[in-house]
Amino acid sequence: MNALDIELVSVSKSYASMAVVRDIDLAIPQGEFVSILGPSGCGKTTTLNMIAGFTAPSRGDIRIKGRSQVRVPPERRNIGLVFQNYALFPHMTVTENVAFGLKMKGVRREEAETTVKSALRSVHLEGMGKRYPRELSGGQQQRVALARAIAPRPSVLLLDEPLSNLDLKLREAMRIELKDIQQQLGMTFVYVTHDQEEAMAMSDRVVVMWQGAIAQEGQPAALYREPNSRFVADFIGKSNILAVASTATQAAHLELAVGDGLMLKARKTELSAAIRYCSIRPESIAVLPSGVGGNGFANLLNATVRRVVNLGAAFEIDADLGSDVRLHVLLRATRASVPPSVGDAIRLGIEDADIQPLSA
Amino acid sequence: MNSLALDLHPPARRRRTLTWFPFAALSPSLLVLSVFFALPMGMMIGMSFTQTETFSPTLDHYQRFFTDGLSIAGFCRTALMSLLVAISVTVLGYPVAYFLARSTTRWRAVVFALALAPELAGVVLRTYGWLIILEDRGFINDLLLHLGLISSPLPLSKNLFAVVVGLTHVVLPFGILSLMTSIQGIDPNLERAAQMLGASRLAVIRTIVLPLSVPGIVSSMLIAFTMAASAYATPALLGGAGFKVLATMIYEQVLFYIDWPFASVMAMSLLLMMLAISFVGVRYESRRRSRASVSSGGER
Ligand SMILES: Nc1ncnc2c1ncn2[C@@H]1O[C@H](COP(=O)(O)OP(=O)(O)OP(=O)(O)O)[C@@H](O)[C@H]1O
Ligand SMILES: [Mg+2]
Repeated sequence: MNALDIELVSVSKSYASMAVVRDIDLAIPQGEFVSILGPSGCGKTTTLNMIAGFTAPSRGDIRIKGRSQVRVPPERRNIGLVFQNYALFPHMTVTENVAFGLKMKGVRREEAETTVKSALRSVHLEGMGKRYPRELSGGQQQRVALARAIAPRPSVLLLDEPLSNLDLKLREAMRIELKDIQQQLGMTFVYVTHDQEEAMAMSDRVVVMWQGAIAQEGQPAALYREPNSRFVADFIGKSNILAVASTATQAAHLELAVGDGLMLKARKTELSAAIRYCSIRPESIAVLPSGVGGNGFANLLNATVRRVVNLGAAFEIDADLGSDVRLHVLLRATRASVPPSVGDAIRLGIEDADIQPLSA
Repeated sequence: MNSLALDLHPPARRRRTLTWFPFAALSPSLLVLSVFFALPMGMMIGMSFTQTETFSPTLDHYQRFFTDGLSIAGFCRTALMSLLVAISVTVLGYPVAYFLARSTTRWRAVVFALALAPELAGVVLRTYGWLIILEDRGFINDLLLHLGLISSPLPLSKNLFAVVVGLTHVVLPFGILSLMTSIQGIDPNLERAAQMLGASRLAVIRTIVLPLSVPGIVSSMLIAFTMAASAYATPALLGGAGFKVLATMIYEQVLFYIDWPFASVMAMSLLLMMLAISFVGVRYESRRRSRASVSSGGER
């Protein structure tokens, strides 16, 4: 385990008695790529601003490398920050922008020049040094902002939705680049976003925030597989969320009653609170032709196709199971697969492990 | 060749419509200006070139202006006074403007009211206020004499110093407003970005806020200069009888000597001074701006 870079210890922030951030505990090891993910207004920026030092927490402590930062002004925290709107200095060239932090630190000129060059190289902007920010495209400006933030080698880099102003293609390309840069530098990244794909694609760990508190944190795959609440299941990826009326423990399974008397077999789990919902990922449901096969599934359900949407790479099927239960099913489009038509009777196969019981 | 001509056509046409519209927007003010400004101005220019008795054209009045010594001295005094006011307004107003542009506390409203309050009292009232403070037997001298720090009153009134103090007070709110507008236009995230890169508060002001508020500084100086150069009451009251600037001299010519042509020449010189200063300021700004965008050609 690496040394801890940032620790938030029961950090809270209220504005005029309105709690914006509630009791956040977070320990980020050196070199980790952590995403803070949550819907708009959940307190992500506020949390970031408290780490950066622009906002003082109402309660709790923020430590960087073990030392409390509550009384340290932003300029002495040795943290980098990339803004959503880039905040490049418009009166300075790209080189001057990137050199700014080094100049403020009193780095010698020759050394600064080398560092600026290598920072620009790492974001693929060699030869753009003499330009002014307004002469650059959005993606290039975004890279300059990144180069400027990493040039002084801060121990931690905070990024507040840095890709949200870019178009989809560029955003996807930048995700990979950001991750590469982070790994090359071995720098701790705290990445704020409301885009779950972005968070999943880049992070070692994702912290899901909701209404000012941490809803769940963990590795992207684990969060996707085992969400602990309706909110997380729905926010990370798409999911079928069904209300559970009652549960019964059988020898091998946990039986969940959903809808109007339909029984689903889930794997047995230890849940402290009562199970109130369950989540089934659309792509984990198998579509079987009526009548044959499918003996390997714990759940085999008859359904009628209500709607088929062609998404290109997949078909989204709206399946009616009767008993007031409907499931969205994602069927991967292959050369062989023929999607069912509306009105077809099909059978759905669901593994017991793919039904995730939720208590909230 | 052909394709080149075709390529050039659309942008040229677009530019024409773009230049036409802003001028149309000027027309109402042009109308007002031509009646209340251009007409008297034309009369003034005419008079400055006219022989008083024969009404024939002459340069005599101008010759007198350049040779009598007093007029040129008044001209230079006006320029110096206005420059000092422009500098002191901008320097004193800047911190206040910065506070007003950035503060989000309830003090902002208080400071805003205080900064603009002087405008509520008339010029004459404020000027007498300063007289009470700055006179030989005024508040400051009385205090210093009382404390035994000086043995005879300091020359605080009836001179350039007093006039600059009084005019600064009069003009300051305008300077503050123009600086504030300019600073408000700077993205506060730029300051935060600089801070995150290790810049102290002072370094942020020096490297980010000041350079980006140059347009505000230029306009504050221009406003202060022109207001000071054309002010009459403050120099007349705080400067004393011996302190002559163009505004007070013009008044004198019209009222005591009833010499309209010579007053017109002085007014012309004042006008030209302000035009020249404005021209320099605007040129500086547009030069700065185009310098920044010339390099936008990419290669350089
Ligand atoms: N200075 C402030 N005074 C009062 N309320 C504030 C202040 N700053 C933020 N808030 C409130 O705190 C909540 C969280 O704001 P924050 O900016 O942290 O959200 P966010 O998660 O970054 O959202 P987004 O994704 O839209 O950027 C919002 O409801 C906002 O209205
Ligand atoms: Mg935000």
